[in-house]
Amino acid sequence: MSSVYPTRVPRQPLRVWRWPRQEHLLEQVFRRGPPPFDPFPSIQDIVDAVLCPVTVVHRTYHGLHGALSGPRGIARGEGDHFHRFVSILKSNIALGKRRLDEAFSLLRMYCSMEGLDADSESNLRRYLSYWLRRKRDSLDELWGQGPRIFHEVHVSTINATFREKRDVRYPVHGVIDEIDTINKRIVERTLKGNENDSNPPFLEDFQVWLQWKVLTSINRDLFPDILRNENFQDYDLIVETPYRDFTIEKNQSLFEEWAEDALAWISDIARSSVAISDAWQNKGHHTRSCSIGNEIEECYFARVACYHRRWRYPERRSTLHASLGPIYKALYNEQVWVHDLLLYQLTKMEQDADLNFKSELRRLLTGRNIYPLEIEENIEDNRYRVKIDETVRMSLVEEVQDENLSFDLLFGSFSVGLRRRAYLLLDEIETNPEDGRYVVYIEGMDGTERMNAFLLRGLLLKEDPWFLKRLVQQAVFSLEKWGVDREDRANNHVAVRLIDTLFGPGTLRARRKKNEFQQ
Amino acid sequence: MSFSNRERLEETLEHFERRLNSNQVDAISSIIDEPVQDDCFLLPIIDGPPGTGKTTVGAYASLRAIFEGKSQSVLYIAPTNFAASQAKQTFERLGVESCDVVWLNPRSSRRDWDRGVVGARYDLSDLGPNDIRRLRSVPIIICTPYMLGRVKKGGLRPSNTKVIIDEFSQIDPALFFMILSRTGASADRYLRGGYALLGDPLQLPVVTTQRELMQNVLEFILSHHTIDGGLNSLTLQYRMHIEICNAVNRMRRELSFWRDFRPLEPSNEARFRDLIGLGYEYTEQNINNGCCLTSEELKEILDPSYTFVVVNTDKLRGSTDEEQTQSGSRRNEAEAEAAVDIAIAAHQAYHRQHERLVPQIISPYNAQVCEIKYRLRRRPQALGISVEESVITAYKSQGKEFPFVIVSLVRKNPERRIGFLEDEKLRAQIYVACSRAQGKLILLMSQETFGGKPLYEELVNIEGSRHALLWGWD
Repeated sequence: MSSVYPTRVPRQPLRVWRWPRQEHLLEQVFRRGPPPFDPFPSIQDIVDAVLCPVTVVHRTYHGLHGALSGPRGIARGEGDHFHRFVSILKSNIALGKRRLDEAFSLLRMYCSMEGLDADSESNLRRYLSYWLRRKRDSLDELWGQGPRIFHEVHVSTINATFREKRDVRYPVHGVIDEIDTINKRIVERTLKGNENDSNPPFLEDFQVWLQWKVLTSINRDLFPDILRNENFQDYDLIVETPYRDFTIEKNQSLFEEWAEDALAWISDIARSSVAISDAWQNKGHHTRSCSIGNEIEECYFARVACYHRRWRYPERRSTLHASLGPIYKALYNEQVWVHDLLLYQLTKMEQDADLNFKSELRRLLTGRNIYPLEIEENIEDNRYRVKIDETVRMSLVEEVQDENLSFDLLFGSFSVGLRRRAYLLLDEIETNPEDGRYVVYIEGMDGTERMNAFLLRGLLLKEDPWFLKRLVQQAVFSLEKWGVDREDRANNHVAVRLIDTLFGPGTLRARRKKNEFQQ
Repeated sequence: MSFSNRERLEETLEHFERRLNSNQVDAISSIIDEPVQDDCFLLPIIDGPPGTGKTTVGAYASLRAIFEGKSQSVLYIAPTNFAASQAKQTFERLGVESCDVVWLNPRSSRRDWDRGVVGARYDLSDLGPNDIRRLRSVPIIICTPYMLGRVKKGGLRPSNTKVIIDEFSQIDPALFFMILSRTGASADRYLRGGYALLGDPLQLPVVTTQRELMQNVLEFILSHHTIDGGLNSLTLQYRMHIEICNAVNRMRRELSFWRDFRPLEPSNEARFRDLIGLGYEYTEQNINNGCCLTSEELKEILDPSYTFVVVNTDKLRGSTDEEQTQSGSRRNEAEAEAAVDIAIAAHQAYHRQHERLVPQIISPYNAQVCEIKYRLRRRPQALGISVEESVITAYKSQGKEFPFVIVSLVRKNPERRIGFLEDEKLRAQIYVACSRAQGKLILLMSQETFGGKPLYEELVNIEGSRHALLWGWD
């Protein structure tokens, strides 16, 4: 490996992935301290780790994610909006609801609903123009075909393997932008790249390849009926930019090596501080180095996290930094206990080899994290009346005693399912929890009619507690990077003075002095 | 930034000021004061146990700081959205117009400017320029720490803002640094108003799997620095009858993690204020047999001369062990039935003018809350009780007070396991639940299961008490 990698020493591949033991999965042990198992990485995590091992440090301890945002110029979030809009457009055409010539008026509506500003709308309009120029014919053919293109497909496996001779199994989960059963394609859509590019945007080819690897590692029995007979081994892998479609080769030995290298970094950095300094010494991609003034252009973290100015004040920054180390780690551990363990539980519940263990896990999670339901009626405007399965009806009533619960709605199985956001509308007249009936707001239901559906609590949405820990990590990290240089400003700045007093020798008081009261 | 009813509000505050005790006055002065001083840094920390009016002190100090020109505006931070809505109510009780104290929350759909409730997405894309201007001109914004990204992004507070952090027992060090980062960490505009911490360090704790995050911010500060001159301790409480106060003090002593334990003292007006003192009349004849307790038993439990009653649920007819529900929570059917019996009997026996007493039932378990609600709805005698509001979890009871409280502890099993009710910190839920009561507190617990456990043993240690009763106790 080393000869082709000028910038970073290859990581020794893991001999075994640290899986959670049965007693952890069955919640028979108290959750405390560092989790004795590896995290459950996402496709995005692995791609970021391939980009640079330091991204794993930022992801793990500083709550930053999505390092590969593309070069400057593309606003963060625009790619997601473009993809979501294309999904809506395609679904509407496939279901015979909207004609192609309504694309721009539909975009106007989308931007208005999403509250996008004029600049973003204008950018999306420009990307859409390029994209439509190439896609007009295929979209015409799509008219009235019914739900045969699936967007936002959630996949999760415990059986991903890389390189033929190695039998180490890894867990990976993620979301595939599009599975097109008409043209037999798996599509990764991106705004990156230019009109004249002859290669796909940086690492997008690896990403779609990895999605395909995950999808094909899942047992066919776990696919929803509508996808069960598809042979994904034969599918084309496409990276789609507004300007061009790139077909990606599936037999990629280099990608296999990269994936294992990335997973070794993810495992090591989660458990060892030595690995963190290793990561800094190996910063950069396998083929592209990274340093101040010579950053990898596509890496967002290089701009916002790796290289930043050193301020003079607060003077006690080093003590602050030392105190924050264990806090970052604790916040990360909490996420693994709350979030990653649930991913293991849900995936093992469907994919473990032991039938008894699987049914035990299902019994544990049903009514606690998953709530099977039936969609009864489309009321209007993405609002549906659903009926919760009788066996878990009261459990859901118990859960909603606490406020602000958010859910994902998954169609199919957890291993391969269509993921939609769902909000329980508890104030609606037709909502009757004791009867198991709820009015639910569901985004983008098209194409899901024949699938099993279930609510999933506390996993993917950004409002969930585990995700809030990431926000805390981000905020604390930005506090560490912040400061001022001017002494007069530092002397009057409450935050600077508080940090310097708290971690320095100054006097800290919680109340006025006695004589001041008397005055 | 100004209040729409400033003159009237100042009058109300003047009237209110006369009722403040010296500890409260000290605490308010500390909050208002300049944080950066010549020889020290002033970080006001108000240790306010239940009923001592800490949130009121925080609200009053906020208003004073603005009126006296010490701060241009206030950012009031509560650990949860529920606590934020409670804090908003406190401001409104002091006379602030709803539109002058805005609760900033994460749901776009929850927006009502007149009621002072504004939902906003993380990037503020759902707010127009006029909405942003309105938010910038509101004197007081209340929100959770997670909303501070929005506050910062929209520049919703000026640099001369006082940041008040309420219920700091639920603020871990990480969250505290997040608050510092989102409110103070800006190189081009420096925060001058300062911070203040309010709370009871013994109340609801940070719930986490990590030791480093179990400390609340006060514990963290104390582990790094000594606090010169001690905290602002509020020890005079205006809520609880002395018997309930004594029970709460016994729990406080058991929960206290530092040397500086100070018992709560009831104010003169609250000292012997039982249900009768609160204006309720008691009509014993209205008590009928319940499903689980006879009228005679209920009369004994509800006797107004006992303000603190512990009912041993082992002695209930048809006593049952707890069961775990599918959601992982727990319930105890017989105990739920007894709670309903007591609630209905109290509802029938106590009335004030033409209004019947509405008892409050609190349990630390969601499943028990659901079970009690279910049973209460099936009883025609409970018609006057608003079930959804009268049966709540311990978490939801925080910041509230009720004349009559029934606490159901649920746990009863031969192994004497009481789960998180034994946890060093999480058992504070019982402390919170019990300290909501003003005139009468009834605790339902199994002697066999809880007997001998440190906190609970202290709780039932009523030797010499004239107004306490251990019902069915061996």
